[in-house]
Amino acid sequence: MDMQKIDFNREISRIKHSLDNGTALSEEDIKIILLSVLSEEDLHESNQ
Amino acid sequence: MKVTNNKRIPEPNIPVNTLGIVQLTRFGDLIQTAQAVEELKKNNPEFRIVLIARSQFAKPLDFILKKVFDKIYYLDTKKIFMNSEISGISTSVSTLNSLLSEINAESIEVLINLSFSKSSSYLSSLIKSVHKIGPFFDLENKMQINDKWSQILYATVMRGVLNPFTLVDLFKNIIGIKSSDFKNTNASSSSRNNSIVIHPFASQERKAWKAEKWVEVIYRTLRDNEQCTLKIVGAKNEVLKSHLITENPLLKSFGGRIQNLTGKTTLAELSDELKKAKLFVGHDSMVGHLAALNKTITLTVSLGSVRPHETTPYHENAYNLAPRTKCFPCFPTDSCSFNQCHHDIPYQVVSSAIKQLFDKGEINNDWAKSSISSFHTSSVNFYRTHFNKGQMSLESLIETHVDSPDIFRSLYKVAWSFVINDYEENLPFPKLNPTTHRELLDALTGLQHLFELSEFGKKYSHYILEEISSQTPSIVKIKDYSKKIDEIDHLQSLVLKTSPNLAPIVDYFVIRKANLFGDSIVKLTESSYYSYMECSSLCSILFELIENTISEHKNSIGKTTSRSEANKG
Repeated sequence: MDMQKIDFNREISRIKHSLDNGTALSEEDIKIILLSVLSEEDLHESNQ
Repeated sequence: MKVTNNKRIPEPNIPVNTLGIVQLTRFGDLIQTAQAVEELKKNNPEFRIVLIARSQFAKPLDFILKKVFDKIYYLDTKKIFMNSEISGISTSVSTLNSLLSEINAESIEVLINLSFSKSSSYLSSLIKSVHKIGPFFDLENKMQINDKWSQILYATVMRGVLNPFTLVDLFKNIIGIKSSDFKNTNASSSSRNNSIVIHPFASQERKAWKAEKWVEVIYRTLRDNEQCTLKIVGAKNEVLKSHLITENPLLKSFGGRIQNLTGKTTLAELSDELKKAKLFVGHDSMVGHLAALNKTITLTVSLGSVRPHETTPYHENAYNLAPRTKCFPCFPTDSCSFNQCHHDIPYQVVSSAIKQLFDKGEINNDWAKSSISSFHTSSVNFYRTHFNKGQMSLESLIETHVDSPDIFRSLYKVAWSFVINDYEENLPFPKLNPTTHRELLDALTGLQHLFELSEFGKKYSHYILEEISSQTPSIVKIKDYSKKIDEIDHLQSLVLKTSPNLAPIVDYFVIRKANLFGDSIVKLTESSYYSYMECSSLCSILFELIENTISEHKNSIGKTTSRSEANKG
């Protein structure tokens, strides 16, 4: 079981949900998004 | 009598301005960032400049970066995601927090994001600073780009072929470095040996020739230059590709003069090799930028999605061969099975250029005209770099080949410099041929449409402001005027269908309008009014430049005596 993936999925859907409801992002939300983007970029880099 | 002053007045404690540069992309971008910041450091040695970069790209370049930056913060994703598959992201968050607290302790005055990636934009929003330049995300997850040069970079780099600025000059403009005369002479040739460094690889297949073509170039180079030795360089993952070249039977007799260093050097060692070499030849990659730092002459073979006007190594002795293939430069996402651009640069041109650069250290228009067969040059553009007031541009060594993008790039360079930096760029009138003449006439029509639409934009922005300031503002009217403005924006994008050469203006104003200033309708509408005003003035300037270019062309035709000469003009 990939805990990183599970955590990202849960947190990103929570953030999307709150953005849909018009709630502004918190600093903690931005940190989660940044980590998720960095992890995607690393995956892309390793596939090159 | 002796005067002593035991109670000296302490020097005032002047706070040091700290600038933070975010550059999360790869080696080449980091070297180009260092080149831009080096000039800032020269002009303002009192600034403290810190770099935030990814550790896998920045650490191997420490030998360069530490000379330019006062402190480097490494974003180490290996460390951040260590064990996160088992423990989840909580430890990743705390590792990121530690890095952020270290960076935020710097009290950064201005944070400049030069990397234009999603990750760098999110990181920039987490770093505390008084001012932010370049892209960052706001709390509504909307990307903000507030400064004009970053807006130009975002709207033009890697979009089409009409960006006239090199990446280093764009970085310098974004940072606000005042252009100065650029003195960058070759390092003494006596300290150089007879070696040529070749990097025949690139990050993507479409950007590099197949091994066979490089074998031809290497064979001719070694045959025609008996004194020279070749050093093939590359990364560890390019070792197999290098063997396809070095083990080719055609090169067997030259074995002793070819040294394959692929995968065997660190970047610092590679830099030393470049420093000693007479010439560097290769595709668009960070090795060319490393050669530029060492003032080694560079000859770049640009293919695929490479934009020579953006990424040619930034120094005075850079040459660039680019194909005149219709689809060049493509986009990394375009599918291509044939790679026509790879066939359009004849290896004979490359080996002739290598011989001349190895022997004489320079190529000029006369040599290009007399020594390369026009049969071979018909499919290539051959450029040499030129510096004017600290900004680099590419000049064609084959004068007859001034195509439409070349002309529009010159016009945009003059227009952007004037509108954004209030600086008058002095460039000669481009020479026109019937095709480029027609395209300029088409652009005049498009510019007229864009100008009229911007004037309408100004008018409706003004109506909104008037309505708001009236005693009984009508929401219905304000909504109607806003709808008109939306229509104007839509119509501006339609102008591109008939005048594709105006894409930089339309794309820039899309970005500009997406980043209007203000937190009230009044402020936003005022900002919208000013953006239309800027669009109008850019259109007028370009219109005038094109009109003058056409007049000059007509005059030159009038002066010529024969019809054939007139066509050349």
